[in-house]
Amino acid sequence: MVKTELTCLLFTLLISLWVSTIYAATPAKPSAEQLRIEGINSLKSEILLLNRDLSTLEQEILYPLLSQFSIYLSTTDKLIFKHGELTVKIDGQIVANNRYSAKTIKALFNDGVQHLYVGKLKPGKHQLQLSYIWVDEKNIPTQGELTHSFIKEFQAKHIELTIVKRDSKNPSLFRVIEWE
Amino acid sequence: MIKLLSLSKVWFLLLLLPLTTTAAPIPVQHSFSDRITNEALFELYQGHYFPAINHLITARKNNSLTSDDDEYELILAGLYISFGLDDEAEKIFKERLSKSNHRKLRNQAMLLIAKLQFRHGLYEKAEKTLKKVQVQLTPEQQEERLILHGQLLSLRNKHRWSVARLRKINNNSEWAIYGRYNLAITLIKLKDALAGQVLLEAIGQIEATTEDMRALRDRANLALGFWFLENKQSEDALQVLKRIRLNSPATSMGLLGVGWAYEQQGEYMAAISTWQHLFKKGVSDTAVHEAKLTTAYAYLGLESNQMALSSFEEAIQHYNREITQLDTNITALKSGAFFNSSETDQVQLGKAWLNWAFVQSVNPSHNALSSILKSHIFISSLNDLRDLLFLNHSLKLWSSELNTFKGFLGKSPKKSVEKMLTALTKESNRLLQKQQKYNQLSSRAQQPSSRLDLSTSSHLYSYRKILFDIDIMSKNRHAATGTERLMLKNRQSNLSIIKHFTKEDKNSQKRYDTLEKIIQWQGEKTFEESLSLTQNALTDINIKLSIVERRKQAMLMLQQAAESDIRANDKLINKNLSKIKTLQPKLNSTISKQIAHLTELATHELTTQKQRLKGYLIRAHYSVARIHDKALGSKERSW
Repeated sequence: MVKTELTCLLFTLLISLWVSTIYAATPAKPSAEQLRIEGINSLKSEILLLNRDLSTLEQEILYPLLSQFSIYLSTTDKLIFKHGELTVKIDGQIVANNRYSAKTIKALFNDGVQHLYVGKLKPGKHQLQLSYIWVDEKNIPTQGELTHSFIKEFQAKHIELTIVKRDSKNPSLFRVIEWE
Repeated sequence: MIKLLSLSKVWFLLLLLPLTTTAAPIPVQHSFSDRITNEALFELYQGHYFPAINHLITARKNNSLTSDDDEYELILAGLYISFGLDDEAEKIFKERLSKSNHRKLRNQAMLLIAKLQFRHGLYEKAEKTLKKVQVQLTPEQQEERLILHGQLLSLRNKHRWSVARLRKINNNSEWAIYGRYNLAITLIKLKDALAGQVLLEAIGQIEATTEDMRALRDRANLALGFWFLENKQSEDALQVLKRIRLNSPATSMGLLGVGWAYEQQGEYMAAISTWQHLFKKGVSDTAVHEAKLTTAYAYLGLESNQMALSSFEEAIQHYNREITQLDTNITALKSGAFFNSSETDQVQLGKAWLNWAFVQSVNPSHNALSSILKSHIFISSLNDLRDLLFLNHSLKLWSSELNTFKGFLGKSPKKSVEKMLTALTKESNRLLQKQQKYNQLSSRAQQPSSRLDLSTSSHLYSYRKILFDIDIMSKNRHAATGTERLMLKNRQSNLSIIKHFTKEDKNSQKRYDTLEKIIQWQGEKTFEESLSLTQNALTDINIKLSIVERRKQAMLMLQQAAESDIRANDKLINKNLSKIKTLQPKLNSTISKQIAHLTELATHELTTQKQRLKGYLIRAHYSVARIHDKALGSKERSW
């Protein structure tokens, strides 16, 4: 009796062992699974399109093209920072006050561009003030301030703040580029 | 205009970005006209797939993407894959990669889609996609293709075809070793045991340099050992099974097999001793359940009926306890304990937070749900739920925002905007507090070295300190960081120090065992997950904070906007509001169905375990009855 019982147990176990070694999961019924996933995906696509329309509407309502003003943050040089912080003021009003983790900084240094601010600005002369602290891998901070005057016409205006390598000609960590 | 990225670089991004955000930087001078793609990249690198997709499709609709290049479309395709929309991705690949010089790239894209479909459990679809992949692949991708095809064929019981595919794998990469393992198992299933045996023997002795390879080596030895056992080659089985490490996922089954091998040789005492060693590990899994029964049978083999009877009775108690525990957990699962309702922020933001407290309570010594939690189908379904919850949250935000616009168009626009601004400021402050809380948890967890400085403390103090720290780590597992993982790497040395103290205190052995279990269990099961959970929590708070801040800015803009401009959009607002109203119930019902689906997957796993235990229970009861009958029979005879 002992042998029979043990052989029986061993056989049951072997079957389950073969199954578990070759497949990571119990295979589901493909057709039902497919239907369920297709239903989810179709709903996802539908909502993505609605979201797209709503984003367009929001932009049209809140930031009409002629009065639109945007600030972007980018980098051109391969600089390594652990974390950072920057504050941007337009005509003395804070429009962005952001902290940057290592992950966000990596996203920037891998060609990512952050849309830092979007809003409306009246035509005329304006002033942008930037203050920043960026800390490198050796915990050495780079701190600075920058003031930039610009003119906004009757059309969209974009300003790009680019992180660049500092040298004797360019002591600031940031360069300001204007786009229209 | 400066070209942003070459197609090959785009592909590099597609492959790496969904997996990691630490890809090597590509130094490129970008121009402003490419900013839309770069903005999407910024989101993508941080794992924010939804804003990145939305950004690209909105720009596409508004014709803001002036570039004729395929770059942004390919990035969009990659994002669609991350969002589970493989059909949308395939459409783009077909359209954009039709030229002959793109064939190689298209093949790689199709292979990626096929892999994702396989993970979703869409086997037929994956096979169809795989057929579209031609031969222009790197040797490693070619191996991946063969392994995937082999698995798909095997799933459809076309084992001979599967073997034909897997036999084509011929080099020594990691993929090739996985392929050979699958081939060995398929060959054994086809009764070509010798060929399978040779392959398993080779894999069972590889010099593994990674944990994955060591685990595969253990699995090969386990499979081969059980094959020998089935063929009554107990000596060979012993030799192979003893190669399995003592701290591997295959250890329990390995010990069970070793016991069996002794039992086949008639070495019942050695078998019992091996199985008792298995019980001492304090885990509760299939191997332990089996061993409870086999130990009792081994006593019967020794003709020690009394010991056998007591072992069977102990096994019956063990099975009854396990069944009761499983019943409790199944009931809890069905009542919705699987998802953590207290973390509403995360749920709103699309993270389907599993209730880890519940998952761990299912069976702390050996997580009964671990196999299902690791399965591709479960993970894919969980990701789908995460996306649906995120979309739901997004719709709710839009609905509230559109209603504010409508309110603004009403009689007292200023009041509505002020009300909304107050609400948004309140929400912003609440999120800032949460962000601060998670940051504090994170920084506290980043100082383990000072907490583990054993050399500066007395023995007893150090011992208590470690216990205290482990306790903190258990409570604050959401704050697990890379540094804490390093700390766990040193656990062996810490444990040996603690072991030394146990000599001084008789009662501390029990505490030591508990501590060891906690550390091992946390190290193996929880930390990877916890680390990811903490990062996700912070990411989510940051996303939500940026959304709220943006809405605040929007409201400030509204205060200054001309009423006539806004009124012009009134119709559009109403149209979109009605679209949301139509979609919302559909979405809610899909979310409920998805939660039910995930719960069903987990319940099915526990129910299967329960059925298995019931089988053991019947055998144990039957054996007890047989022993009693036998005893009664001999008594009657002696009368």
